[in-house]
Amino acid sequence: MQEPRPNEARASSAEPERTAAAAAAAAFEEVYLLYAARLRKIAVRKFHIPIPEAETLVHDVFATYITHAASVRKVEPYLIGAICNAARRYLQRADAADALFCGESPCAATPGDALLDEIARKLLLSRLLAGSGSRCRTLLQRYYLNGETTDAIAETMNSTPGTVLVFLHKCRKRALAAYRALTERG
Amino acid sequence: MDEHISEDELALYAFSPNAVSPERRRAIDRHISACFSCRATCDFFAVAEEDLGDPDVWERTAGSATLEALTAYAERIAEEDEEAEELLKPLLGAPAKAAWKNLLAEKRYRTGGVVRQLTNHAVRIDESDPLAALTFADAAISIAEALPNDLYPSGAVNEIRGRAWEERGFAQSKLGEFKEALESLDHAERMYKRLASPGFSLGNLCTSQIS
Repeated sequence: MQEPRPNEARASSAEPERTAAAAAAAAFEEVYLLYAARLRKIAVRKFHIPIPEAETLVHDVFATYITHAASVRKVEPYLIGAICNAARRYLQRADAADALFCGESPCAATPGDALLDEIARKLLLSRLLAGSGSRCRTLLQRYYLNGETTDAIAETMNSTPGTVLVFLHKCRKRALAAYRALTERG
Repeated sequence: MDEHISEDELALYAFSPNAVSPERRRAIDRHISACFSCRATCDFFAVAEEDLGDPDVWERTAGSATLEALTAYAERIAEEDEEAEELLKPLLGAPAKAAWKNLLAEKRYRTGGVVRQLTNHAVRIDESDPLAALTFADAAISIAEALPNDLYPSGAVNEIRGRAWEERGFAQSKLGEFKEALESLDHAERMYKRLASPGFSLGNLCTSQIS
């Protein structure tokens, strides 16, 4: 049998390490995608923290979480408690925390049912988008997230704004079909 | 009940009700107030229109700077831990060797992963062999203190420093060195307070001080 070349041998011996690290990153990504939106909403809606600062707080919470993730037994209360405390500290620094208190149990900023419903709905929608075709996803992303006009999209597609509107409608209908399939299955 | 409203018309009604004639609008209103299926479809279109503009909905597919940075950080931590585990294998079973070896002098030992592995090992043995645990905690502290403050984002290097000091305090208390233990725990508290998100670590420290 042919001996592997030195580079190949090194690559294959390093492979398990890369895989384990990639698995750790993937596991973290799943936790992040499950909770980041909720933490942002808590910071912005419950504590009225400006969006860019809320993003920094969410980053700080997850950056600290990563260093001791193994010792966190219940991720959800940990993260919600952490964003409450981070938001409170932010407001204290901004001298605006008088009316808000988060040291109680449960935290006064624990999200209410309406907020939780909205987050669950958006989480479902984000999964639908992830599972939808790339053409629809790109089109919806350009229109809704990037805020491009139908005129601008039509120009790059060598099409007309009317056709773009039709495509958008078809994509929404596809999302509806996927939503129905998912909710009926669930 | 009259016939279901088509999805196309419900979508139009949801996005721009004014595009539907007043008479037809009234008919749709009447129908969806009684038809659960058409109301659900109409609600989906109306809500999706609003939800699709929320960047959170797109993070899973479009990514974000925060997600990218944090995922890379999580991967780096896992890599550091794996490397440190390999590196420390010969030392973890031999506390005397660890005590005499100047880990700080060798660059390969000056990583956050080595600090975490040494501290974790100290935690594992602190009940059965507190003296050895103290040795490993001291080794962890010597490296942790030498690491740059900006090693990790959000001041997270202070978490591993704090944990090493906390473990030192725990081992000292097991050895009856209570005054020194208290000093170590104070040191751990100071480290944790430098974290951007210190609640969990301070809470744990508080619990361990009580117990």
